Amino acid sequence: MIRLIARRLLVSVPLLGVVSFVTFVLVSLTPGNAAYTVLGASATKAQIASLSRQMGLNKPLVVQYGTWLGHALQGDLGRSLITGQPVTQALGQQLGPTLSLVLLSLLVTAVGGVLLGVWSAVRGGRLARVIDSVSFVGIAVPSFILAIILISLFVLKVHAFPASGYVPISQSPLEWIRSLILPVVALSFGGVGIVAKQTRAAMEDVLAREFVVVMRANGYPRRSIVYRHALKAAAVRVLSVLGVTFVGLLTGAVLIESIFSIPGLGSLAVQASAQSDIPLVIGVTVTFTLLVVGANLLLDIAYMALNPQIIHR
Amino acid sequence: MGIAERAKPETDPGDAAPLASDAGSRGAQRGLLRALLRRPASLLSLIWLSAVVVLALGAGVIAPYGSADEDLLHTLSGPSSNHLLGTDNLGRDILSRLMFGGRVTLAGVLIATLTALVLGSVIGLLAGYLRVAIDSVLSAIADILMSIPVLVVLLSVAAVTSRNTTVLMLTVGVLFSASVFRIFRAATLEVRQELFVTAARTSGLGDLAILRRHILPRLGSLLIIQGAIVASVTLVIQVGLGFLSIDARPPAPSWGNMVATASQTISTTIWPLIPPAVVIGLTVLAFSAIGDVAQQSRTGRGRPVGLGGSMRLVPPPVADDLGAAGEGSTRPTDPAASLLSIRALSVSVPASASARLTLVQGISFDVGPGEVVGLVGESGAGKSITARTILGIVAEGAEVSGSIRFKDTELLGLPEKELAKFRGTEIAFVGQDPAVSLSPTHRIGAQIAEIVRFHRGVTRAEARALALDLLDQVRIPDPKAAARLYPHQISGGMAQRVVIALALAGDPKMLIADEPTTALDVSVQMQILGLLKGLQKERSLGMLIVTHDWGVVADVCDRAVVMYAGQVVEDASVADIFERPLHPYSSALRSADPHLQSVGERLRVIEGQVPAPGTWPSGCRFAERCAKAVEACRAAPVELESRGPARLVRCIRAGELDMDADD
Amino acid sequence: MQMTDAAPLLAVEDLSVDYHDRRGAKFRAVEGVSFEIARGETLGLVGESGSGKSTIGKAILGLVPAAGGRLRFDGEDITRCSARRRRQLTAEIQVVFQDPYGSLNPVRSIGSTLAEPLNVHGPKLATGEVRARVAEALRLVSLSPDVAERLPGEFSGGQRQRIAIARALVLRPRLIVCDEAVSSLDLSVQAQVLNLLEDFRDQLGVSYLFITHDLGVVHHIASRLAVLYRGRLVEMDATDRIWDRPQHPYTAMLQAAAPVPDPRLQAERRAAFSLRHSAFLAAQAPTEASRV
Repeated sequence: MIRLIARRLLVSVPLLGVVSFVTFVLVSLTPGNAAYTVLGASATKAQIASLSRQMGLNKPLVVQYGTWLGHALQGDLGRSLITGQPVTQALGQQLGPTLSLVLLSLLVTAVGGVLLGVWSAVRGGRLARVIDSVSFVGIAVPSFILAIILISLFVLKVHAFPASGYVPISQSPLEWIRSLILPVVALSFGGVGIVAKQTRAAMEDVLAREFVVVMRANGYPRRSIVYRHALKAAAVRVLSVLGVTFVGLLTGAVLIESIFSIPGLGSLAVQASAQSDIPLVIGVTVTFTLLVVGANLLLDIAYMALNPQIIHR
Repeated sequence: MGIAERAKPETDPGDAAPLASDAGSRGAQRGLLRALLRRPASLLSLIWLSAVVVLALGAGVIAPYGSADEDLLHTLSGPSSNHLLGTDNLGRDILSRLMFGGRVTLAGVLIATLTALVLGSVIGLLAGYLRVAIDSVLSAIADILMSIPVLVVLLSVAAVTSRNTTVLMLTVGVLFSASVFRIFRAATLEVRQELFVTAARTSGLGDLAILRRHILPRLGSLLIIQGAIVASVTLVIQVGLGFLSIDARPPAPSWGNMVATASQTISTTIWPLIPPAVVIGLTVLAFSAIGDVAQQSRTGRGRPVGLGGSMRLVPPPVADDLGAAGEGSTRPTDPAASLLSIRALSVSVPASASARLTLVQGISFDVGPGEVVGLVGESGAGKSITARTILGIVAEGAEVSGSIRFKDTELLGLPEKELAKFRGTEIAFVGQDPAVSLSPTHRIGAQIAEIVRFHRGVTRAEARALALDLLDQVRIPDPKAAARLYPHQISGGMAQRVVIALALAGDPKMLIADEPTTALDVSVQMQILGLLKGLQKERSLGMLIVTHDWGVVADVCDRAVVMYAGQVVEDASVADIFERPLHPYSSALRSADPHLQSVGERLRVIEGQVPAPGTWPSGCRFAERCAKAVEACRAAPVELESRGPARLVRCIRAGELDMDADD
Repeated sequence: MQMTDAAPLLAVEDLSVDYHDRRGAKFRAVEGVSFEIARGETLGLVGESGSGKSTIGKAILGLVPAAGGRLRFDGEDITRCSARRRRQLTAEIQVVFQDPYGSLNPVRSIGSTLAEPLNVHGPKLATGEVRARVAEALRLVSLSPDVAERLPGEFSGGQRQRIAIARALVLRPRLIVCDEAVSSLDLSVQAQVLNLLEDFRDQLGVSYLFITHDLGVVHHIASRLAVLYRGRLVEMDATDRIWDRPQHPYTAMLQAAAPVPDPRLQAERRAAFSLRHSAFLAAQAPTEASRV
């Protein structure tokens, strides 16, 4: 088990390396460089050249990356070209809101999707069709369109929620929840549909297996067959869907944060991209990748906990 | 399980049927196309997508306005005769902008989808089929690509390429090729391990021929499924990019930036949002509906049988009422004294939308307390279905008629909740294949303890002790060590002992064993049969053993009920039926068992085969294969009649024939 | 080695086969097995699961590599022959697998499956000729030639196994490996298939390696038996002699394990089984006695 985790961590190292390097290369290809970004359109060529030298932009790419990596390993991701704020500090400020949004959405997606999927697989009939339609709608309406619709209904018409903004949980847990309800609903709706659909397919496969017949024929209570045995047997497939969904949630969070003006990493990414604030772009990308690495690690541990065939050979 | 039972559990007819329906090698693709055109969901989707494409391509000609024409007198108007779908904040015609905007969006989706499909399928196929050394490297790359948060990367790409939409969508395609790669690699690996691929290899086919003839045809439909899925996802991403204003440059429209424009004025009116939202939604739906239909036609999906349970009790059809009423008096055992008493049991399942298939027809027999009855017959006789129907476990949509009495209770027609009270505590079940009979993710001891606790209401500790005791009773050498194992860690014989242990957990009065030893090695079979017989004697269990092996009947049974083509053809004590079988089928079936026949002679066989459900003749169902059949046998249905004490035979010539005479 | 008529069709000499598990650990499935099959002879290879019997069949077919020892077919060493020679050999050595549901491609017609070996071997045949050879093979297994148009899904297990035999026969091989070829069929259908195999031996002079776990079935078709236990041969002799007087305790136990369809005989056999099973366990090392 520890070996498997260690292996996953080892795979994560190249992942982080690849992502940061590719981003680095991409960014260095940008027409006009960082010096241009800092100085703005009015700068003279001489000014740009001198600042470039100062920033080390005339050195070979690999050297630049090496320098960046050296600093990064010591926890220094450089400074924003626009505000001059250290990147790590900017990321630290924006991480909380994004984590709140994404983790809450993951919770809703997982619990909602799995429950709906299981019910639909077990009950069949009309409920299954209702759940199918719900997940169909979830797939059909992109999160950001849903977000706009939610705002127009619940904020502009009913005034039930604040239109935008984010309240840290340390300030007021109640307001924190209130500020996140609409974003979480918008972000997780589609995921619930996808997870429900896949859970249902996985459950139907498991429920068609012989051990379910044997358990049922010998009087195991239905609830135990479904939730304790079948769901656990289906869990590996469900978990891998959740893993993919998590990556999707991160993507969705970028849009949702923009719409609800949540000061998270997504907003930061959009803003940095628009301003070609290169150290910030790289920092955000690496942070997002770290989040995925962490999630994958948790996923692997969950696989092992749920599937005895991986460890007990 | 499926429609017909089989001797071996791994051969589920449910698998065979849908595969057969998507016919032919090239026919597989044709079958998929037909399925797409036949199902309303996919047909509507195809029509919608074609319409969207035509309107986008023809926008220059068809669209009522230019994409940037402003009508400042009518900004933010709802639908009107001038503007069928209203106007946006600058008075631009929404319908026209949707048509023009479709070009950007659909082109992006096309680029991304094609990139993902081509890259993913080709590399996946190579990795899966050739098992090249770089397979693990490719898989690792796929893992990495799938871990990348798409939109964040796109934002940096956008920053770098000054919003070159083609490059953006190519990037999307590359990122999504990872999931296509995984699917294709897995599917190729799966097909590659099919026995028929090995068979092609042993027929002398080379790698390329196998790839072309056996593997590619199976993967063609996958291309459509994956294409539809990737298209629906990339569409959402493309629109998302548009929403962040990084696809088309304003004022050129795209579906995404139309949403963005509309979102700026939602405090005034939500209308401009509706048309693009609906168009986007319908297009995404269309793609995913096509994917779903293709998926279903590939795998063929029905509701699982496992939890089924929605059996319908119907009155017996008049024509099928094969003397059910009159039979009571002629039964070998007194129904009042019997543990289980089945009368005129018929089971049918839906074969298609309109037709039903009868699998079991007018079955009657009894099992006395402490009696071991063998339900004997070939594949397709309806033995397993009969056995499972007793426990109320039937395929979805099954219709059952007749009567199943256990002690004083009529089981047929009991609600699932009531019926469940009998399972395990009165009647328990042991299945065909022990390797798949146990819950794969729980330790053996825990599985047994759980059911002990449920049936007997004891504490956890007591349940654990009782579970160990049960494992000991089924002669598992070291119960404590065994209890800690998972099902995949034990042999088939041991697994079957565990299944028997959990069947005994509720202290049942009767045990139904469906081909309990067919999947086992012969020496293990002998031990399991010995164990069953021993436990049966100890606890004086009533037992019903389903088998196709007369040797098993001879070994453990007191009485044999012979089934053929959904009917009981003979019901007699084991002594009688081996001494002097009265039905030609009982006699022929036993004669054809190679185990009894003398070496050196040609083996005796029953020519022909069991007629499949739905093709049963109206007269004697065995007449086709019977050496003793006469004209009268085929004329009318034959009744099950009493021939001597405790014997029933369904043969009009039973009285006049000496079965062993000319065998 | 020179080729004479007396040379066996197949000679397996000191064959060993290894498997590797996922962690790369080696596991010896077959250890030092030797036997010969003469022209027109049927050798029964008997053993239970884990005995390595199917592995030997796979090694002969070239589906798994031999770790040691030699395989000679008609005098030729085929232990490590080229992939091209292996493909040619499939015209001489054919196979019938246990599972008639998996061994036929469900989306290819019977005719197309049977024509496959014809199309890859020897001189290119005209379409009409291929069709004729397919029809002939189907007739040999008592199926009507118009079966060729249909898909495997339309047939019962017994019929599919006939089709699989027809595929094995279509190239007129000299050796057919029957890997549990009748085990998944109803006992009544097994007799049909056994008769069919026997006919081909008489009419076409085919040799068989008949791999099975059922001693009670194999003694009808095999003239000699080789009994395998955990990868090693424990006994090999003429079928009659083994059947009448099994020498090894394992063989003795196996023989008593196949139930006979006669209550009186079966009672005797069960008594014999109990004795022989204990004798077999006693003959095993004490550590192995606990796990059966």
